[in-house]
Amino acid sequence: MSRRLPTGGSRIDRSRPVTITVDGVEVAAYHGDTVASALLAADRPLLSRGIYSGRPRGVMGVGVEDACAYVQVLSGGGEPMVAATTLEVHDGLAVERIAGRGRLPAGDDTTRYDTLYGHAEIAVVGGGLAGLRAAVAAAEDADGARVLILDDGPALGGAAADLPADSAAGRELRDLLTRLDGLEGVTVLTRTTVTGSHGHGRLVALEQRPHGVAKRRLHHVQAVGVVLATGSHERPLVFADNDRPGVMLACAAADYVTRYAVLPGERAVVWTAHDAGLHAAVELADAGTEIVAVLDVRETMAGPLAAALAGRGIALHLGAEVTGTDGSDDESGRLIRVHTTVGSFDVDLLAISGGANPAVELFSHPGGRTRWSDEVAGFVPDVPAPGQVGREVVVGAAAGDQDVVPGWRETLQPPATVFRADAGDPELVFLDPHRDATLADLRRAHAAGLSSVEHVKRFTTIGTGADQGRGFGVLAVGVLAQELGRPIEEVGTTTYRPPYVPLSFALLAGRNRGELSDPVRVSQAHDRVAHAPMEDVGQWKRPWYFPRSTADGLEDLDASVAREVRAVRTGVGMMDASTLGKILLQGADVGVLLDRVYTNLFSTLKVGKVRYGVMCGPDGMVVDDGTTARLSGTDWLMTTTTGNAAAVLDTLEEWHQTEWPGLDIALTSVTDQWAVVAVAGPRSRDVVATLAPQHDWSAEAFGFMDWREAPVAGIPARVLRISFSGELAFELHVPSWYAAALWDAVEEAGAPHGITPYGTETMHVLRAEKGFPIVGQDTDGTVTPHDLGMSWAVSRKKTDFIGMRSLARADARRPDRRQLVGLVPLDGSSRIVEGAQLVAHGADLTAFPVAMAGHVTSAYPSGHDGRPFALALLDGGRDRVGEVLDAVDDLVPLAVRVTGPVSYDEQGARRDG
Amino acid sequence: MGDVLDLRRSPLAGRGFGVDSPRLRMAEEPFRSLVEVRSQARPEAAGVGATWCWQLGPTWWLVDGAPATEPCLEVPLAGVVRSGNEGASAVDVSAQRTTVVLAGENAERVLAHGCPIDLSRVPVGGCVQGLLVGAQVAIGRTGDDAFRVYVRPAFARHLAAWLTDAAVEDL
Repeated sequence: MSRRLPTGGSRIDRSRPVTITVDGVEVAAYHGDTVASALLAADRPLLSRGIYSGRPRGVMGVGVEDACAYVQVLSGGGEPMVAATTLEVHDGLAVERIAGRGRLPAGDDTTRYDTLYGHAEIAVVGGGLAGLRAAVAAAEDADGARVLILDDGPALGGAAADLPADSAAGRELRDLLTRLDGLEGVTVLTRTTVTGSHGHGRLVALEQRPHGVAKRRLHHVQAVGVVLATGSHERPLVFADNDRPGVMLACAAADYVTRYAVLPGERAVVWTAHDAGLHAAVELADAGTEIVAVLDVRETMAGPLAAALAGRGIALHLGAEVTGTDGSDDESGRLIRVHTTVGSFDVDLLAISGGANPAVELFSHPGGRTRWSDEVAGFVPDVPAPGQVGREVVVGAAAGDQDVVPGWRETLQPPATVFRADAGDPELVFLDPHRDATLADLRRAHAAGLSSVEHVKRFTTIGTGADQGRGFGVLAVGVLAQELGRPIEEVGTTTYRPPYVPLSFALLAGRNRGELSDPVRVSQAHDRVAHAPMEDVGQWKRPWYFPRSTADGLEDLDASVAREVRAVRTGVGMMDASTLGKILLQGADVGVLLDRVYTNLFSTLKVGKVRYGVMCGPDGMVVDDGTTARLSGTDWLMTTTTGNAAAVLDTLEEWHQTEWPGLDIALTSVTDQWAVVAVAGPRSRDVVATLAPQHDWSAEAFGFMDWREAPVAGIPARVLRISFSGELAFELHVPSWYAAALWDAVEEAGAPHGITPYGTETMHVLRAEKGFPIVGQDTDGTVTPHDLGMSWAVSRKKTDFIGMRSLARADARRPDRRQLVGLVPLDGSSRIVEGAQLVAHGADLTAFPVAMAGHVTSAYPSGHDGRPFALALLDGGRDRVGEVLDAVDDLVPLAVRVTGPVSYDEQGARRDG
Repeated sequence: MGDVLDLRRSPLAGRGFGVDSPRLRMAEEPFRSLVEVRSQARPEAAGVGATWCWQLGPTWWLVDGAPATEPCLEVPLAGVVRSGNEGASAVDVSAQRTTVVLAGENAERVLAHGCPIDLSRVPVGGCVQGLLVGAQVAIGRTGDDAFRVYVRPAFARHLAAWLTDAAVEDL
């Protein structure tokens, strides 16, 4: 049986039939229908079941105020917990009814989501009469102002759109829309729900875009002024068995007639506490519902509404209440009988309306306070949030204004503040059907000693469902006040928080997911090395190792690294070092700055030379290290560790701007300006000489820590003799757009020497054998240069540098501080585990606490001699060389011997080749 | 030495990046001469072949000029700016940023998918800096419907992929 009326329906287009699937069964609908209206039209009122009770539930509301009518969307990408009362139908839409809880769709979410930032002088939330009046006034008054109207419906007009076109409201709406059309600077977003007001004019809104490539768009709106014209939500009344399919909000029931031409019931009882419910009774009667009784909790009633009911022969019972309902025995559990204080009635619809709650959620989000108004019988805006004062106004029904629709106020009878009937089993009086919470639950909370509305909310879970208590929240507060015997204004509401309607995490992520979730930084030589497994270093992708195909298949990490290490130690290797942080320091006072930020002396550095430096924080702990080359009298090029480039630049800027603004220096990041290829190994000189034959590259002519300009394979370049491996090594710096060409040239020139590309892992092994620490791996913010054995890099002549004062403290000089040492396994072959704890050899690991003497900071399966080794921080480590300890990983001890940190070429004999 | 210039490879070369539709044009303009300048006053650069001079901060400027015509370790524009502006610091950052131009009636909208700044209030000749989808950028307005976006080469692929995706409904 169809409940679709032959004519009418302001939102549906009968020329465009649509078929949707609900639980696998086809349901006929029209374009413009919601899932809820389509199901009501098909006379299928059962829409969900109670999350715990399993009780059948139907459609109560017509919009976001509905507490229960949530469905699982199966089509498209799928979506859990979508309100059937706002979900518009389209061909192919498939949904499933659920019991209070959706589920994440299996598989990837293929739906496209979009994000858009918007700006407006005035943002108007709500496109009903009140909002449109404000928008038109703002756009007409303020020349050039951008006015943004956001409305959650498919078209502007709000409640006025459901009133007759020839009524005063209908005429005014038409006039406002016409004026709006001719105004510059007005943007209208429909199907757009503002989900959060975050203060200072910041709004977040969800736009449904049924026809867009991106189906949902999240708007971030920054407005100067905000007009909240959010209207009101119809409030129910409660009684025993108030949750059956067939119990509906009265105005919502009438809206189904006007919007969707759906008659929600054949025979109905209407119970109300305010005039809007009587209006609804008249509308339902005129649409064809037989109204067998209208109950009004108010004791007196006069005026045109009473007359309208009498004129239609409808009995109006004043001071009457609904006390319970009966439902059918079949699966649908639909309403068949209503019990009232004036008798029982066999009906299929019970339309209730307890009042109108001003929609104050957005007013409350940033901290606005509400107060109870007896006149409105609802909580109305009172004190705006501090950040909204002067920039936010609330208008229309949201402000408690009962005269939004012209002519209503003249005949208005005051509403009653009533929330429930006194009779009935409290276990069956549902105060939040979404959460299956009842009056009995509320009484249990009270009995447990809870009286604060916030505590009761958490005890009973009332208002914590996907509808966030929009339907039943205020009502539950009212019932609580009744139970406590306190006035409702004293009890107050719970806190409203964003989001106003559910938002999915995928929507919040927008298009920034998968490949776009976080920037990937690549060197400009990336395409030359992209075949290598990559290591993530900050946001950079760096080649980790370069496995070769062998007869046994592709080399694994250990085999590849062993080969790469051997190549650098005995022949020549090359690596892409472009990711090193680089800062160009320019100005007359750069030397002064460097003397202050590095622990060693820099101002004496001559043009053409490079120096290694260690940087400490004010606490004397190592924060970064790197080399700085003096390019000219005024220009210096600093390198930092890859992951620390931005932090070092920020630190230098901070010191410059806050402490030493008088210094003539300018700091410019040039990390991406220069591509760097490191050529390392005893044969590296041959390779560089092939690339730049016009220069003498002998150790005498071009010594360790020298740099010079020299075209490399014709490419403008700087060549630096820097080594991070202990071997003879060169760094070639070229403008980054030459990166790939440089890589190719080095590979070609190195081919006769068997040049071997190596990755970060080999670099780590090479430097670890030389005892070169990596800041952030071998240090952790508690390590001084002295702890690293780098006292040679700490100037004793300078009068000051950052950290100097702290390094002079007794604690920084304690001999038992944790110091950098080397470790080798006692058996010469077992792998040491990075992060393992160092304890006394043979310590009982079950006798807690086990005294910890240090930990392993870097560990590698094999160095130049093919044996495992490690670096560690060890209490008083420098004096413990030769000692045997246990390195404990996951309660498994490994005997290790302490060595010095340098395990290869301790004399530094290899750096000149 | 023209053959050496041919060895250059711009960050977005060969990435298939670019849009040329009625309402949107996006393309990389590679190898521009870019110079970061620190000086109290706007650097005199218009007379030296510079096309744009953007203010990045109170005493911070980015000069954008035609690509260098010879291979060089520092673009000539840097030296010209330095010698023409007494006491100013000028650093060649030509390979430190690449330039993406956006033009057309939807150019501003494409950026608004990720840029929280109110670009409609940035005048022609004005420039803003910040993060665009996690990548540090400077955005300069060159016309009512035209922008230049300066991005580090290391982030260029990420930004280009994002712009391409963001523009899907704005072509």
